[in-house]
Amino acid sequence: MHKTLVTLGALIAGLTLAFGSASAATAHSELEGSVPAQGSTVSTVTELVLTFGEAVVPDYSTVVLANSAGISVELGAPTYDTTATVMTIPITSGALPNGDYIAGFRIVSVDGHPISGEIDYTVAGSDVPAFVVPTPSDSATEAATQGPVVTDGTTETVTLTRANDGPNVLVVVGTIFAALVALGLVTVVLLVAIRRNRAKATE
Amino acid sequence: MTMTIIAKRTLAFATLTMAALALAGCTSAAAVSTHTPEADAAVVPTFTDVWVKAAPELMGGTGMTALFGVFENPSHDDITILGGTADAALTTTKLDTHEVVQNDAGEMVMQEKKDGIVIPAHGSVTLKPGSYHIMFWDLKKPIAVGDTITITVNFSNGTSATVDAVARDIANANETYDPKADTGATPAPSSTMNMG
Amino acid sequence: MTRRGFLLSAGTTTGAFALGAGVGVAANAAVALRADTAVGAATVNFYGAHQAGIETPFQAHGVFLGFDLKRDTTHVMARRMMELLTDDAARLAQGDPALPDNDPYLAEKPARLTATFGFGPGFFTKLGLSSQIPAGFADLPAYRIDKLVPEYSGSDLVISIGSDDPLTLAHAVRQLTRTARSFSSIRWSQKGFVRSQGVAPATQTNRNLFGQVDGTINPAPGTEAFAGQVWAEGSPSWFAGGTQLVLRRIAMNLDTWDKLDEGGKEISVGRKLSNGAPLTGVHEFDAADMEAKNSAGLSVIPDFAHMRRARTDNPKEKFLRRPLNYDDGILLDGTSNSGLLFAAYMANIQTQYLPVQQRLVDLDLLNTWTTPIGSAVYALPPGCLPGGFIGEGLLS
Ligand code: HEM
Ligand SMILES: [Cu+2]
Ligand SMILES: [Cu+2]
Repeated sequence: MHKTLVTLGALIAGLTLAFGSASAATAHSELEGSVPAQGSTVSTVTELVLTFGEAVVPDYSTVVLANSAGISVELGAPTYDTTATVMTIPITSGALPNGDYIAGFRIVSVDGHPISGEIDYTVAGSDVPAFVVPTPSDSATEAATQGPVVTDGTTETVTLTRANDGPNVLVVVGTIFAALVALGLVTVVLLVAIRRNRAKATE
Repeated sequence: MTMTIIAKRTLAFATLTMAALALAGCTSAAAVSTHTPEADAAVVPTFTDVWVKAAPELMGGTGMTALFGVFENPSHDDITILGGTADAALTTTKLDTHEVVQNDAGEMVMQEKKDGIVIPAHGSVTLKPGSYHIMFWDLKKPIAVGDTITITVNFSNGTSATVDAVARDIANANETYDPKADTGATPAPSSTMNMG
Repeated sequence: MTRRGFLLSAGTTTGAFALGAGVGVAANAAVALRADTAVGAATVNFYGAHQAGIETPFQAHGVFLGFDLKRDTTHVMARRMMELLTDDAARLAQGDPALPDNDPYLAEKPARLTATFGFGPGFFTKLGLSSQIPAGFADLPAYRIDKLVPEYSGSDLVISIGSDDPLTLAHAVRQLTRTARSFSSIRWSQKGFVRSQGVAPATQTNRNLFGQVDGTINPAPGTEAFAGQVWAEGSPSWFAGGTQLVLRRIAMNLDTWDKLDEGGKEISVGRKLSNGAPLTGVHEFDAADMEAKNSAGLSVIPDFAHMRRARTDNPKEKFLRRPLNYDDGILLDGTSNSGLLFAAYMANIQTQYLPVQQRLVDLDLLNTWTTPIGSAVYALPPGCLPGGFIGEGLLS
């Protein structure tokens, strides 16, 4: 269901782009919109969806996610819609806990134009337990479990584990959220044409 | 620059520097005037950069070519290259000295230089396309590029030398033989090096 | 005889004379035309343990000539060819004409002329010398980025000629070709260049036609690192002191490249256009910080950056890059016909080059604008001493 919905969302996104944002045709592959959107506050985030004005070359894409403390969150491999303009990046550990986040992306459009930027958003009202930074002695035992493997911005690698999490709970939660996110995607994509310049492009 | 000019320069130079010559001393004598022709009789000219124009294919079972190089005469007297002989397997015809001259029709042609090619005393002569050369007739086998052929060159002072020549590809040195070009013909002008 | 030849023989015939007198003759004979500049008169020693033209600092102009042995070429003929080519190259490097030479005056200003010889895979197989093929020497595998054309690929023999003067170079090309073609047929010739002598300090790194500073990371001539990366040792014994050459003709699409802004150009390699400094540094030779992240958490030097993909800390995967630019004029549609004669020298292609090339095939943003259209490999014998010839260890 998750997949179907996302694909449907992507299809709609593609149509929207095709008909709704003709003005973007001459632009390079700039970011036209994202979920979560730049500056938004959302309660549930299990993946990032980036929509570009032009097809991107999958090989060259990089997306990173960190919270305001500089703790980075592990992301899965991106998938693309058939037009290669909508990129979906799963969050490996599932829904995010509350906090301020910075997503950084760097992509290359099919004409070779590299674009990068960042999307800042806030997660509020999430019931997902906050990340805890294990003490070095913990990490030896806990590193093997799931949980984002991150760098904390000072280049020292630490392993984060979530308090009280269990794989089964995550799968259920993830499935529900996926449905919600997919619905959210459809909505957001429809708004893309007016909001596409909100992202802070740095290049 | 032709051999003629080189020879002249070298001679002029030798004259100008007679004093230096005398001071430095030559092979044996303290003064130039003391040497006799006999004293130089055994001097064999030296040679460098000797090559032969390759004849990779025979025409009608035979062929011709020419040998070039720099011959130097360290002695006090002019020495003349008289010609030579090649390995019998290559040609049994005597190797004559040739020059390139303008015939009455204005063409550059080669002819035998019957009195030989002079290497001036303390000088050198360069055999090169469009000028002096040692002529090969009646080749019995081809000469491929890179082959080394060995000939005996005879000099006017009674000496001879065994000379190795490497076969090289060159587009010119194709003058036709004109036995009628008279001996008083104009020598090849110094500016003319290449006559295709 | 050339003027120079005349001087030599004058010197010989007047061996007992004071040296000064000989110089006087030189002045007489030469007058205006013979006058040399430091650039024109400069020579690179042809003889030595290694062939010239590899460790030699860049000459402004270069040509690669690819020849295929004639079908009936024997071991003996190959040997003669190399003897004659060696003789030509040694003379030309000194500013002397080849033997013979119909345009001897064009040899007068060697301008650091070098001629370097190498044997392609076909040289070994055609001559029955397969057992002498050096370790790691073979054609590159076919890569998915390649669009190779035969006109620029492979050959049994390569002659790479360099000089600071294009006229001298053209003459040397003619002379060496004339010798080679008695034994082989020309397959292709590829011309390249870097900056002219005197335009920039000799130590300044070149730029390619993308405007990039190209050649920053390279072993310095005369160092142990250079010797370790470039010169082969051990077996087969004929190859000790030799090196292997990968020659790739890589088209660079200047027209699509020009659509990028400066930032886009810079992150494709990971270095600044202005001075070649890494994006994490200030000066050209600053060490690149591969871990550095920007405010968005992205690597400053991207994952797809050419330098990140090409670089290695493994000394056994490093080699010398000595590329020349090529610019074959503007095509009729107004677009560029330019690129790099990418020449890399190493002791062992397989262990040193292939891993790097594979990484660049797998991921390198530069591939967007670059297309390999020619490819060839050669085993370059060690140098020789006067009286010897290049390749003597293999062909004697
Ligand atoms: C048209 C094609 C190419 C262009 C325009 C190009 C350009 C550059 C530039 C601008 C640099 C950075 C400066 C420097 O260190 O020299 C560089 C570095 C490098 N390139 Fe290339 N290059 C090309 C092809 C290749 C190929 C085919 C290879 C090897 C398979 C290669 C291997 C390297 C290596 C090893 C470095 C040094 C990396 C490091 O250690 O930092 N390049 N290249
Ligand atoms: Cu004397
Ligand atoms: Cu004749």
